[in-house]
Amino acid sequence: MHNQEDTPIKLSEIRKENPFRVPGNYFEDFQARMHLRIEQEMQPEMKKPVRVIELLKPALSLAASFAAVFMIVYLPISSIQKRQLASDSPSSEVQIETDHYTYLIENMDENTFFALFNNGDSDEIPADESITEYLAANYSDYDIFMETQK
Amino acid sequence: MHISDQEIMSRLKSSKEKDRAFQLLVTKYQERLYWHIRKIVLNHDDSDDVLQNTFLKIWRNIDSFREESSLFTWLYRIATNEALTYLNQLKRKSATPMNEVSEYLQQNLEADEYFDGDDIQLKLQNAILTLPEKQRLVFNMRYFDEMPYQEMSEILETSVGALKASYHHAAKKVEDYLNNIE
Repeated sequence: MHNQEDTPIKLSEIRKENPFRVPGNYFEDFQARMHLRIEQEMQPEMKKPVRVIELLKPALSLAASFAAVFMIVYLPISSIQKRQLASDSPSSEVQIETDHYTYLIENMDENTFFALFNNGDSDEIPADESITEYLAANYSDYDIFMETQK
Repeated sequence: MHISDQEIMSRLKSSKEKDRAFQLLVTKYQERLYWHIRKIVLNHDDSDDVLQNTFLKIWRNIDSFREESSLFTWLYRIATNEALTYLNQLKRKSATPMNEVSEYLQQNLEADEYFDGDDIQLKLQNAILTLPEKQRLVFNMRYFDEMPYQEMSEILETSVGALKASYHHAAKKVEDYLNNIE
């Protein structure tokens, strides 16, 4: 232990000198080493070839994002809409009705069909010639005479 | 060849002259920054690593330097941060408290072939190692470099009053250590 009876050490009395040293030519070489290190630092940036995929990457990412949004939002909505439409007017019922009318028409004879077709809805008066032809084909002279006598 | 900081800065902004200007900056500041770092980390090899990291950081960030402070202040701040980062890495690696890191630095100093100090110089360095980190910085910058408090204030971003108080406490502790050591 430092003897307290001795003059206490004062910082101002210590010779102020740099106790450290560096290897010979350290500062002369440092600049060159630093230059090399900075070149190494810059090299990957300079030599790295720019590939097409890297240029397209942002655009592809954007397109992928839009596709994802489309899949997530649009498709479920459109599917829900289709289901809603289907429940409002079921196609099976429409089909059944169409089949029913086709069946009725197919099994109807010609006269009934025309009679139904001209069921008082038409104001058109048939021409005299067509009436005569119709009567000649379907009724005998006797039938016509008897009808007129009633 | 003397070149002003303003001249270096204006050349650094020109892409054609940037490399050359950076070499000038390294030439101008390498010694001052080295000795500043060396007093913090003590060992030459570690100081060399820290100095290289400092200049790399300066190179990477030179375009973002807004000249709100002087170039000198900015460089010293980066060097100080890099040196303290190195000490913090030591702390993390060893998972030991700071006093054990101080012991490590002390042993490192004694083994360093580039330390030429006599007995009293070695004791002085050991005394400085007992100081808290901030007081160590302040003591080194004031005692060895005789840096004005105003400059220290800009580098360490601490008020002049606080720095004076810090130096006063540090000097007292160092003298006490030197007078009580075996």
